[in-house]
Amino acid sequence: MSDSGILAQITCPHCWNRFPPEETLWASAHPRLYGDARLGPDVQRRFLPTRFDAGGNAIDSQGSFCSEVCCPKCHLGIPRTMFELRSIFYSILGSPGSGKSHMLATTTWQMRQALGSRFKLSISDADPDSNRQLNESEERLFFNEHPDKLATIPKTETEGDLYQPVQFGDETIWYPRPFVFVVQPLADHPRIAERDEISRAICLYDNAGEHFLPGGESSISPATQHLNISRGLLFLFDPTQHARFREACKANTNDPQILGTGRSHRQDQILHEAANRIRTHSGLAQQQKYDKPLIIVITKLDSWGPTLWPEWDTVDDPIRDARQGVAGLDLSLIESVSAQMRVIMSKLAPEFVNAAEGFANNVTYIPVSSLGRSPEVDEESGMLGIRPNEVKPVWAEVPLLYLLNQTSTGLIPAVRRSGG
Amino acid sequence: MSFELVYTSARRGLRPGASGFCTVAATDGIPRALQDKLESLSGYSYTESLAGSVPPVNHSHMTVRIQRTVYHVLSRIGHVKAEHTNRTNKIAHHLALTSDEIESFDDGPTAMFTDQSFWFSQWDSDPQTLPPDRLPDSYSEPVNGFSAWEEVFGDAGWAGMLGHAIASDFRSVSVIVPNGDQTMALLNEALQLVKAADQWKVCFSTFYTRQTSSAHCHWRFVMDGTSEARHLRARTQGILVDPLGSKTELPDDNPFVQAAREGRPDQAHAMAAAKIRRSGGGALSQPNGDDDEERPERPSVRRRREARLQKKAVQTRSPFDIPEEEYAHVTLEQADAGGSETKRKSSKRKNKAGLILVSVLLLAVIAILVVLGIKQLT
Repeated sequence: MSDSGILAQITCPHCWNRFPPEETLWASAHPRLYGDARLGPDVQRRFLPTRFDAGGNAIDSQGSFCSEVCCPKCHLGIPRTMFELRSIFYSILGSPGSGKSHMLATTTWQMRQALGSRFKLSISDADPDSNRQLNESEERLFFNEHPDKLATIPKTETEGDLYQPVQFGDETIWYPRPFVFVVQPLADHPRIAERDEISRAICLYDNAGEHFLPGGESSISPATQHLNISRGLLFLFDPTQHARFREACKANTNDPQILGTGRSHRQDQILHEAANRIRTHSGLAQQQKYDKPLIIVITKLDSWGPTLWPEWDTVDDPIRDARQGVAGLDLSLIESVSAQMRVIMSKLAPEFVNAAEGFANNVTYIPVSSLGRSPEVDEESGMLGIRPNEVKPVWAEVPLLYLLNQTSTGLIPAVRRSGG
Repeated sequence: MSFELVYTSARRGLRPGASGFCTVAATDGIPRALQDKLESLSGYSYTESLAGSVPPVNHSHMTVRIQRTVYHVLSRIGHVKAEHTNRTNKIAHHLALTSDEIESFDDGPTAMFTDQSFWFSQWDSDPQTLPPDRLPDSYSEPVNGFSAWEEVFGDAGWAGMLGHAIASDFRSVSVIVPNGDQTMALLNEALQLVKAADQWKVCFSTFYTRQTSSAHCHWRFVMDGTSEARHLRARTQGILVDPLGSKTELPDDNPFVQAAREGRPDQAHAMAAAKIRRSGGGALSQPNGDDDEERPERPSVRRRREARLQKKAVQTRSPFDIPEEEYAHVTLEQADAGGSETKRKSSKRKNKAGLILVSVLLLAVIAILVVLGIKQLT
């Protein structure tokens, strides 16, 4: 990082292009300067500035002061924090219907509750407009005006609101919209003096599950290329889409996802597909293993837990308050639970365990219930929904906190139980 | 040859292994690039659609260029019942026509949507390949003046702004409507103000959001209560028709506004031409709130505007319009490309002359150096 506090290289969260700060484009501000070659006629023109005001903001050709900075390749806006804080990219992947959108909404919500009070960290939206879709999902589940009525999070599309079109000549490339959060220590954090070192900009993506199916990626929709730069992967394994899990649980549940007509996906194939893409784009040899953390998030714990892991609703909280005043993650508990999950997975989905451990060196299995109970089918619309006043996530924030602990020094400490 | 594509969420798609959101039907032999493009145009904003009482259907006409072929893409995209995983679903049905094919549809693009039996509004079948040249019956809905505009906005003159936008070099105009109930009627009535020869050049969307459209759109119907409407009210490029939400006033002297109010759409262009002649080539008036009206016009801007208003061969006005004359199935001799072709040749000649001059100067310098060198040696 330079003396000015700006990083020497910035990674665009849209197209993953790396560039030095002096190549940054700015979005003009004057009303006459509309129309950009990449983004179309309805946005402000991007330009490489030659004039700046005293505050370091660019001045466009019509004399207006500009504030939005953009990527030189895709011209999409980049939050300023990504010029000052180190970024971490995490990928969330899984088959269609595995619960990615629900988990993302509950994870970010739970982190907003836990980080401030227990970890002495603040978490904020780097770009509220960009995070709008995720914020709406959080509102549906946790801020709903009608908490007793069934609420639905729409199925994630492969095009539309979560993607942004960029024109390269005759071709339009659809880039996924990133969700960017800033995590930094609060004033009473013990390491506040090292604020610049430990603060991070965290980028997450909510891809449609179809993008992870074989053949689901195309040159005009490189929606999953963030897999290559991610510091860790969160793979959502959905037991309700696995025939053996459904068979084992159906006698002891009324979850419509288990009792229904059944929709199965070969989730090991999806993991293989993701592994192939990572190997292809990052140049990883076939015999080399992925050396970053692979977290297998076993979702919908409320539907299979009563049968296969009866202590699911009384499992301890892995966030423990430490004597130093800042909470930490109980890694012993997480590793113990992971070992138990591995036993269950090896018995019912050995092909998946094989795929995961054949690809990555460091595999952890973490069970999660994003909603805390089974969804209901709305008789009128036929859609699955949940009543917001019944949402009680279980371990929803744990996978991301664990990833932060494993990949970023100083933000999420680990704690060990005293006295053995 | 026309091509169709149907895109929705289903257990199985047309491509082996596909499921979820995928293509479930397409014309046999559809080019891969066109298929990818049509799939990318299938976005539907479910959360935005909830702003209305009934989720609106997006009827749109866009032009896209695939390699050297321009296609007119007619699309019907709407909400459907829950899919096989009990989650929200949509269905997008696209019909891509070449420039040659649209010539046989004189009634314009909106007439292609009247045949309800052609357009898929839901999909319960297995994936299938559609037969080639399957086309809808095209007929215009009877239009009664501008009654829909009068009913929705209280003043039929607002329709005139859409005609004015097209006459002003195909500028984009956004219309904020209270709901999606009457947008097709508003569209049909407004098209009366567009010359028949230009109707297929008008790109429109009856449920427009920036995020779901990557193609240029002239007429954008935006639902009130959506984030798109809020964005437009905060700042808009082009013309905004928002009589319900903002204080914009209609310019009473605009000939298109007058023609709409009087129910005489056939007179609109004659009145506009007469006004231009009377004012010596001045611009047609626009709604209040346009920045240009508040500032004195610079001479260079006025000269450029006057040059634009003079009749010319069809050219690309905006870098985002597709120059069909370059890529349509007509030869250069048939297209009136004289103006642009002459300009290209003249600039090539200038470049050549410059090159020759520089070469001559370089040779002269080399010759002088050689002479001096010889003198030194002797």
